[in-house]
Amino acid sequence: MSKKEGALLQFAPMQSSVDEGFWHRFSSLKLNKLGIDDSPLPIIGFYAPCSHSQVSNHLTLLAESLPSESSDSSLVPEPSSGNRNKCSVPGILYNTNTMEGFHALDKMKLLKEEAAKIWNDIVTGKAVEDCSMLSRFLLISFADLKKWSFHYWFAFPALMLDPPAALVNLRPASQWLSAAEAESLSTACNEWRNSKSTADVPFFLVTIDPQSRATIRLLKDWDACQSDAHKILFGFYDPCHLPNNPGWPLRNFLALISAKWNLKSVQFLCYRENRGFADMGLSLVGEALITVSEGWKDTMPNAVGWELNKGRKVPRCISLAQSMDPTRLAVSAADLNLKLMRWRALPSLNLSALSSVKCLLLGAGTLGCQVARMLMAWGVRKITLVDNGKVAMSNPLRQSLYTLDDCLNGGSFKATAAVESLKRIFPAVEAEGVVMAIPMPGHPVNSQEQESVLDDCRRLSDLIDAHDSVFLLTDTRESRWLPTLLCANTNKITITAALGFDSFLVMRHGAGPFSHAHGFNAETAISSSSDVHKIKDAKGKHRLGCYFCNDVVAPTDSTSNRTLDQQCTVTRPGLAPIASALAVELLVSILHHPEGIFAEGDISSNVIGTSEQPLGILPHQIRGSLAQFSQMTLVGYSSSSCTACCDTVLSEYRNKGMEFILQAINHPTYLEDLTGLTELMKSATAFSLDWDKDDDDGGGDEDCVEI
Amino acid sequence: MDQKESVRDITPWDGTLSSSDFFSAACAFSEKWKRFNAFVPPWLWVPSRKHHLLSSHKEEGYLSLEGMCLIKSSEEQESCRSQTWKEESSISQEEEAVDNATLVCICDEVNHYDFHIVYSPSYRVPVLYFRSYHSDGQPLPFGEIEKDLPDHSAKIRSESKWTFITQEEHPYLNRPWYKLHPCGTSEWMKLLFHGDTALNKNGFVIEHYLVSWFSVIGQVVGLKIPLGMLETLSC
Repeated sequence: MSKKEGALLQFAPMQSSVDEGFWHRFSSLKLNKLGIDDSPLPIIGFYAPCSHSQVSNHLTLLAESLPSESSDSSLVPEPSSGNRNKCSVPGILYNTNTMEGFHALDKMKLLKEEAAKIWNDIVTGKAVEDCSMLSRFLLISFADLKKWSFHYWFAFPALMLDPPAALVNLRPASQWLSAAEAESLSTACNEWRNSKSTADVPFFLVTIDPQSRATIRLLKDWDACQSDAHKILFGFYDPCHLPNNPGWPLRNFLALISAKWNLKSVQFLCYRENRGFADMGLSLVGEALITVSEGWKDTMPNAVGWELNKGRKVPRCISLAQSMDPTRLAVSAADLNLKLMRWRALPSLNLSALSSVKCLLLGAGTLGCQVARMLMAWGVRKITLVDNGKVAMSNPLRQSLYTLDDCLNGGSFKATAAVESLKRIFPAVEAEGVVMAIPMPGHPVNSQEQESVLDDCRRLSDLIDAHDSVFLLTDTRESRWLPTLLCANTNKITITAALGFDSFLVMRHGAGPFSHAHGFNAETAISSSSDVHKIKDAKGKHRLGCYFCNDVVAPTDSTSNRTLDQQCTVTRPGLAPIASALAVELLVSILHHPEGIFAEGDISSNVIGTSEQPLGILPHQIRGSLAQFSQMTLVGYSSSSCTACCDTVLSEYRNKGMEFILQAINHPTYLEDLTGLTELMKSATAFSLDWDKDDDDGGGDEDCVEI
Repeated sequence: MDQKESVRDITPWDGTLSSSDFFSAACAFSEKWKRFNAFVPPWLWVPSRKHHLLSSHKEEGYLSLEGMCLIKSSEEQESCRSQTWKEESSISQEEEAVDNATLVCICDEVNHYDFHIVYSPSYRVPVLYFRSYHSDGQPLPFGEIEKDLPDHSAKIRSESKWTFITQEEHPYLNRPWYKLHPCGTSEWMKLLFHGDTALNKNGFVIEHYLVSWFSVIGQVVGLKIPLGMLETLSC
């Protein structure tokens, strides 16, 4: 295929390709070494001859295009040599610190400066010595390290011939050469490409003697080529694949040939390969006519070369947030973990239920911190912590979200510090902290405090409404009363954990008295607030009890008049992690049980395989003793005199609302009178608050198995 | 280290192979590939040292096949990839010299694929890692890669609980690559070699391990294994 005589020689532009690794290393360099220093940085680009008939090769930047980060090295990248697939060419990077700075760069000036370097290398002869200088390039960029996006623009400076060169003809090398010549040239090229000393030399001279023998030489051997009867070809590695156009490197090559050797007619070889071997069918031979004026080489020629982006003269942008943003990487790693559990062990694991359940944790102490962590480990993302306390110096040891820093300056609020800690562990968690006290019966309030206490009650009610599952993790019995009532009223999944000195209780509350076990599944429990039917729960199926159903006394002030060791809950350290872990596992089991909150209480037995549920049994209560290293599962049913969840109390709450709450808070015997517990009390002794003792007092409403 | 060699002859094989066996298998595989696959780039061994203290033998590295190109027709090109730039950062026509010598060409969009076969010391099997990017280097998100995968790939991945694609950090390059999770590999490798006592001889297993492994794995990512390579198994 030949072109008409004298047609304009048009070059295929050089195309850039930046490997992710380049941006990774550049980000690291910028963060660790360069800082705000925006002086130009020498870099190395790589290209190779085209090796695919339909895809051009690119000028590529890799991680090794940049200098290494080690402190003792200078900011110059390590040159590679002898690699046939990576011909090194020098480049320079101007990275700005702001987007405005990027736009404000004087692009023409920068292009002229780099072009001037090429011209200088040509004029002084340096380019003949080291021909890769002819393909010098320029890169400007703005690395946005907050969003992990990189704006950049390449320029491949090309010196312009004035007037431009004309193309006499251009055809595949196999057509221009004789068969013998083509074979000899192929062999010579393959040797050149396989020899470490010349494999990455992208410009060369080809001489073909009258016996059809081809020889390849370095540019500096120009004088040795001046022998009559020899055909001379100016060869270069052509990254372009197009059959009718030579690649970009030829532009500066022609400028050199004209300026240094004054030739008017140039036979050139666009060297291309196929599968790593010289291919004379893909390679092109052409003849260019150079008609520049006499004085052309006395002044620096004009230059062009900014890379187009889809035909427009605008920069490019690449976003690497997917692979560089640590938060995204943490999220996908966490997801993978859970998916693996599902794939390998538990195909019925409901990951979407776990990631969408909204958990409210009342208490951010030893239990609250551990429960929060365990929830995150299960893939729960929506966690709210409520606590009105501040982190004290003794807390970090047992309360796993706090460190010493949280104790300083009087101590941060626990709810706030806990949330920050959770986000440090897993940035994608949706955690909120609420600094609030939980109103408690038996702690009377005067009239000034009344309004704010009622506010807290309403706020607590709103919080419970907004969540699907509530954990009662406070350190007094009475603080659990109001939450229990509100949860029973709205039928929320409620889990209590309570610690003694060396024993613990973890239990799930039964459904509220106004609920009905109809077509329940985990999803509806989460999405709807409460399924209220005015039908009381059927006799045939007892509601499971709540934390207070066992009690025969109303919760009241347990904190005054206690000795110091009774005031600060002193427990064996191992208890809280055990109880917290069990509490979370209990929630996960509920979420996977088809009847959810309405599920009956199982007790563990020695018969293997009694449970049909993949996660095993779903107990009602778990009581453990560290003194015995033992644990037992119990079932307790609701009491019709329960001060927190019986229908008398709940009806009263529904009728009188906040007024009822206030009564309970201010009058210690109100609840007992209301429920009829007063009559059940056997003795009127001042009660102790050790709940183990209460068990001894326990009334006949229980239906549980005790060992 | 491989005292297991003698033990293996007696005890049933568990479908895994040791790190040094992996190197032997890799050499056999890449050599066969070159022989039977003239039109596709070769698998090259890339030596890498990861655990300078723990590495107990000399040849540690992975097999690499880079530069597979998938040319997209113009209908499939992503128009959403182009940014709408305000003309703040363009170069006005007056500034740059008028240049007719530059060819204006519209190039096809090409998806480039790189594949690595990396040994997993914890699962003791090979793992296929891959990534894809456009010509300018922009990595392809998984949604785009899925469009390139053959139709039966989705079927295999949904049916087999053993075959799924995840994104994880490449053990040597420290960047996220996609990989076919190895948790089921030893199971089905056992099945592939099962029943034929002749096949269970040590040397044979190692030499043909990667070929067999690849005949399954390759299907998920659309890499075909030439029949010639498979036929050598049945002798």
